[in-house]
Amino acid sequence: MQLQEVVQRHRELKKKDKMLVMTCVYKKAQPKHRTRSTEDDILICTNSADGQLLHCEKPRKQRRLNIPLSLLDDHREIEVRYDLLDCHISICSPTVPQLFSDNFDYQTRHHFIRGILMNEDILGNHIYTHVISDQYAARVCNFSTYDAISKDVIHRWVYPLVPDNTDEACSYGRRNIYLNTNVSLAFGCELHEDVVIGRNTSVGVSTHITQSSIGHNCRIGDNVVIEGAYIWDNCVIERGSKVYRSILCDSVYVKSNVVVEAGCVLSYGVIVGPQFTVKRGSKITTSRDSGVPGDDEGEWGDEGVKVAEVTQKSPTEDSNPTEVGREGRGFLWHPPTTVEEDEESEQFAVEEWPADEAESSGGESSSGSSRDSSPGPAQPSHQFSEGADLDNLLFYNEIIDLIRSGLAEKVNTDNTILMINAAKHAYNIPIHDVPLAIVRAIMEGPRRSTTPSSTGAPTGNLQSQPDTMTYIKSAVNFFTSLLQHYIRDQSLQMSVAETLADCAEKQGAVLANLARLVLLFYNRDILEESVILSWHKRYSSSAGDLPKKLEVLKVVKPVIEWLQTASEESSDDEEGE
Amino acid sequence: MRTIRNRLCTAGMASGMAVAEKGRSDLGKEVEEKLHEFITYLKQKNPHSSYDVAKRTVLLLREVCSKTRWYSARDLITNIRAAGKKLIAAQPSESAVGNMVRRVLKIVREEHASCVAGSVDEVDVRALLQGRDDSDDLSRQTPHLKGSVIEIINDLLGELELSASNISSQAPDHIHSSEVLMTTGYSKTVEAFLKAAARKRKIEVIVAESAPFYRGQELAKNLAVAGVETIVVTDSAVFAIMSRVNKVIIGTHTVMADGSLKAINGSYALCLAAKRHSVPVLVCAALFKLSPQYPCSYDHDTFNKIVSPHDILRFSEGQLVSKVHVQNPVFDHVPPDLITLFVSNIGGNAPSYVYRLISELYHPDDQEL
Repeated sequence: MQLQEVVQRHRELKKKDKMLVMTCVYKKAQPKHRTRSTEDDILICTNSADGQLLHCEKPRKQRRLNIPLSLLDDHREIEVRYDLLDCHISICSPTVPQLFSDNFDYQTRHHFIRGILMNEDILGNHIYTHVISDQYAARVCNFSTYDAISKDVIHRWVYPLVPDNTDEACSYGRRNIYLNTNVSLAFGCELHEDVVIGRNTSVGVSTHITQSSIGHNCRIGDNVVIEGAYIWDNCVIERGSKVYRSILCDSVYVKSNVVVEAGCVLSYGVIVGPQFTVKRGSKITTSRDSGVPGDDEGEWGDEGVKVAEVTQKSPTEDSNPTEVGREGRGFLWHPPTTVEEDEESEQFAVEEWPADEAESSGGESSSGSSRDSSPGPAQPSHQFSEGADLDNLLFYNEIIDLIRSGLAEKVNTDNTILMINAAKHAYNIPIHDVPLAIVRAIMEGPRRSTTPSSTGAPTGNLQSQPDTMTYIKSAVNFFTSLLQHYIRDQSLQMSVAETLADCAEKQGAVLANLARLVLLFYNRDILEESVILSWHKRYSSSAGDLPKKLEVLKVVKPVIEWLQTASEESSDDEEGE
Repeated sequence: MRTIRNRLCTAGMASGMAVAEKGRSDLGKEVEEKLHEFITYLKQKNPHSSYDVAKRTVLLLREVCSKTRWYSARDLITNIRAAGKKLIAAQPSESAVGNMVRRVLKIVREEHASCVAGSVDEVDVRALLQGRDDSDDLSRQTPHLKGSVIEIINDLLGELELSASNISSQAPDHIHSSEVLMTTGYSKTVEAFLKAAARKRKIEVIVAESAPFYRGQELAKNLAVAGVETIVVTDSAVFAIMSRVNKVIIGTHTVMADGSLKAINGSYALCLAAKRHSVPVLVCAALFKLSPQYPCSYDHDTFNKIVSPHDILRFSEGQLVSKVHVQNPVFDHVPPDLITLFVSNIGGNAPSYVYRLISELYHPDDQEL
């Protein structure tokens, strides 16, 4: 596609809307379109007037959609579209790299878009969409899109980027047959339709090829059948073999009378046969248990998995004849199935190369968890709690660590704010929960042991009261500006006060010094006097006869009284004047 | 007879030498860059205006003449050939490139001959009499060659620029008052021609919209703005309406050596309908569209251009896309017997005369680059 138009539009919008960060390109394509990857299935809401992206979601197999109601309030007209293909092209403003580095937990473009949309109210950044219908753009991200996009190229949807219009002189014939220079076709070989053959490739007698692409310097023997296969450079296929809907990487050697069934991937340098059948959907590599078919490595690019596999990798053994045939070389590759070890490995179960059309429409994509950023070490809660609870817990643990290290190493408060913000984005924590978590972290901080492995459960090694108090005091003093940064309006202050009381109920050390703490917060301008008073009023009314609450009330009583008198005095003063 | 054999030999020699010297033909950095830029333009921009392509080719070849290093006419011819080959390989369907390369080569040969012998005729006569070609003369150094070649190339550029107006100035000769004319697609030459006719005569123009690009609508709009009475019809209505039409006037992309046309699709149907109703077909084509190539096969990649099918079937059609093959050819081949007259910038010619024009415009050694 021509990018100029989009870039031009991006510039124009940028002039109108200073907070524009990105323009995403989408292409119109009905659901179940072959080029639409089931992984990238996308639903977006846009403002119909100017194409501003409001909401973006990957519905996968869910039957329900979550569209925030606030969108309907804020915008007069909204378009909800499910007929778009994500082209993975975005025109970015110079602020985008900065946003990525600020929020280092955005791992993919999708995270980034979601993050921007979620923080739209706070940061005010906008994303706009651009829908193309007459131009072509798409991205290969798995085998089925590789297949679909190759077909689109062969069917000339991407004109002028077609094989006969590249630097290599390629001739184009009827039924979409592209022949490069120096191709030798033996007598009686049949190129049925949609065939691309690279240079210096020879095809033997009575060979039948259809819907396939064959690379440079390949040798195809006699009586071979090739249907729907992608054969890369320097491959050899000997006589009598059959290859169906598979990918053969560079330098694959298929000996005589081999059948490669649909959905196979033979990696670089694999040899199979003779007289052998490669089972449907098998993936064969030359190195044991480590091979990811090279082309897709970049796409999956999960270092974690590779590291895990390197440790498992044993010295190369002899090939198993049951896997690759008598004279074969290569090993069957099994996708790692140990899901509990590493979440990332789920992504390997990505959409199988569809064996036939019926299966492909079924779409067996497994949902790679959208939350790839959760830390590796196993957490006690990890197995059973997914979603918001886990997020909250993890976020809270991180805050505790941040507060503690910030205090110990006297980190600049601004940096701590930045890191807290990052954590907030990572775990999708609403802004008003952040100060509460911080306050709680300060209160509970000393009780937790420092090793992250046990952060999930309080260890109960209570330190002596004075220690706790000095810690809290120093923390509050140190993080005053941080707290002031987060705790801005009265409702927040109110909830902070409630959190304080809550901590006091649970922790003896806090309870004992609650009065002093409240005073400290008051002196530091974190809590306003009116807030404390109204909190007290509400708290005492809800206390009833719960012993804990009464105790709390008893502790804070002197402070409250002092505050009341102070406020009366000040109002008296005002009256006097 | 002997001359012909000599010619063939020299052609073989020349091409052999061209291959041998291809390796060391060095166009220089600046020219290479321009060449590359033009190749990108040829590959990406779609559709091209063939006038644009022709003009840019000549400008590029002028650069080749003025900026590359060469000592004799042969060196220069080698350089131009090398550049021309690359350009033609980039977009074989744009025949204007090849035409212009051949025109410039012919200019170089003629100028060289006139520099050597003072007069072209003299050389030809001597060569005929003695059975000796001027091929060995090509390597002789001629001091004034560069200046005169560039001068003639500038003349060629002037000819290109004036071709449209030259053609349209002939309009009143071909079109009579209150005639009904029909055309298809959008050609700048035809637009100028019709406008010129409308200034002198009262005419009515019917434009077939020429799906799937619908450029006929563009032409109709331009004509209507200029005050010509215009009707747009669908392509399917062409035959029905042909009985009312007095003349068909079309533009073309290329005129082949046998007088056939490579024109926008829909032209063939239009010309067949015209033949059926015995309506004369006029083709407005400037000389730069005249190609020495023959259409040897309909599958030939130098003939047609097949573009993205999205004009016919939307990509968004979902599952249908994966089940059908859609071909979207840009051109039609119109055989010469359907054409009455070519109107070129040097006057009107019948299709049977095209071979003569070609032998005048291009040197026989340059048929194959």
